[in-house]
Amino acid sequence: MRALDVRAGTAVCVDQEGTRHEIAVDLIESVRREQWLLVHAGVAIAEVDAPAGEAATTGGDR
Amino acid sequence: MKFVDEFRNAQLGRVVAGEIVAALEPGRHYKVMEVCGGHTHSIYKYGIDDLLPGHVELVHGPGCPVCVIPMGRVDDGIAVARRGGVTFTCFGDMLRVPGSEFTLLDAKAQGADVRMVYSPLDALRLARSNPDREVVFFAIGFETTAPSTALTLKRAKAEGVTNFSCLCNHVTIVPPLRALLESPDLRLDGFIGPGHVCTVVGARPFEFIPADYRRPVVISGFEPLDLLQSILMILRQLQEGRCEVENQYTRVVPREGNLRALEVMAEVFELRPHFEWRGLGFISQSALKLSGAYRDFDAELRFDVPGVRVADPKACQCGEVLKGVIKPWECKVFGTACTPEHAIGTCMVSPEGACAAYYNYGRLAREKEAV
Repeated sequence: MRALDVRAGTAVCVDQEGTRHEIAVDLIESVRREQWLLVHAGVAIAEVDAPAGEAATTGGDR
Repeated sequence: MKFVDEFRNAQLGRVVAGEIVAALEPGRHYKVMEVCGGHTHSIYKYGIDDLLPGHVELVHGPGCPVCVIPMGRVDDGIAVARRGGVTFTCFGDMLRVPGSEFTLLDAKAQGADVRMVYSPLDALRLARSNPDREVVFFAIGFETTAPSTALTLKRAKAEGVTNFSCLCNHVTIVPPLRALLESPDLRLDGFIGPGHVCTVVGARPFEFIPADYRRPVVISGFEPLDLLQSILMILRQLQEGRCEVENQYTRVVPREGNLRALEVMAEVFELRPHFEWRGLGFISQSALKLSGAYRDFDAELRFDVPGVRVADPKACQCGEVLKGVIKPWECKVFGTACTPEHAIGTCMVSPEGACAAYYNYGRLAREKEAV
C-alpha cells in the first residue's frame, strides 16, 4: 500500500484497488508520504523502495 | 522492474523456464517445497507448474495458518464465543474452519456474537466502543501476522482497555520445517522460503536448513517471475553443489528482518512448550502464548477454555497434504464431499490452502487426466 498521509503511529494508505485504509505504522522506523509499505492485518511490517513498490506488495503469507 | 505486470511477463517467464530446464541434471527427479500458502496460491493461479518440466515437482508445505489449526482449538473458540457477554472476533477464513461439530459461522447462526475483522486493531476498536462486552480476538498466523497481534495488545495495555483479550494460536515456521526434514516420508531437494515471514524474522532462522540438512533455501516473492527465478536459484545451487539461504525477494526482505517487530513480539509473546498442529501432531516450541506481562489479556486464562484434543475426521487427509506426502486430489474426499462451500478439511477452507488452490484453479481435472 502507498502512504497518503502520516500521523502519530497511523498512516492513511491506498491499496492497488484504490481503497483507503488506516494502517498502524509503529513497527516502521520512519514513514513518509508516498512511501510504499507492506501491510499485514492492518499493520505495516516492511517499507519498500518506491521503484519496486507496487510489485512488492502483492500476494503474501500470514 | 517497477510495476506488477512486469513481474507477470509471460515471455520473460518462458525464458526463465528455459533456463530451469538447462539447470537440470538428466534423469534426476527434483522435489522443491514451497513453504508458504501464498506461494501455493500464486503457483496455481499463474500456472507456474505448467511451465516446469515433469521431473521438477512442487510440494506444498505447512505455511497456511488456517490449515494447521486443529479442531480442538476451533472448539475452544466456539466455547468462548457462546459465553454471554462475549463478542468473538476472527479473520474471515477462520469463520468457516470446522470444529468437531460446528464452525464459528455456525455458532454465529445459532446466536453467538461472532464478527469478522480485518485486523486485531479492529477488535480493539470494538472493545473500546463496547465497554459492556468482553471482546476476544482469535489470533492465528505465522510471524507475518503475530506482530499485528503484539502491537494491538501493547496498545490495549497502554490504554488500559480491560474488556479485550486474545485467544492466541500464533505459530512459528521453523519447528514444522525441522519436523518435515526429520520425517522419513519425505525427500526434499530444496525450499522456496516464505517471503513475508522473512520480512519479520529475516533470513537467519532458515540457515539451519543448509547447515544441518544440506538443502538450499531461496526466499521468494509472490509474483510469477519471482517464483520461477527462485526455483532456478535453487536448481543452480544444486547444480553447483552449493547449499545456502539466498534472498530472491530483496526488494522487501532485509537479511536481519524487522527488528522493531521482533522486539514487540518478544515483549508480548513467549514460546509454548508444545502445540498441536493439524495433521502434524504436537511440535515442541512451535507456537506462541502471551507472556507473563500480558497474562491479563490471555483469553485462555480469562475464560474456561475446554482445551480438549479432537481427532481429525477419518476421511480427511489434510495432514498428508500439509506434509506434502500426497497431492490434494489424492485425498479421498477432495472435490466430492469436501469442497470450498462444504469443507471437511482446513486445506479446502482458506485461500492459502493447497486443496482450495487446486480446486479453484482447476487442478483436479487436469491432474486426474494426466494420471
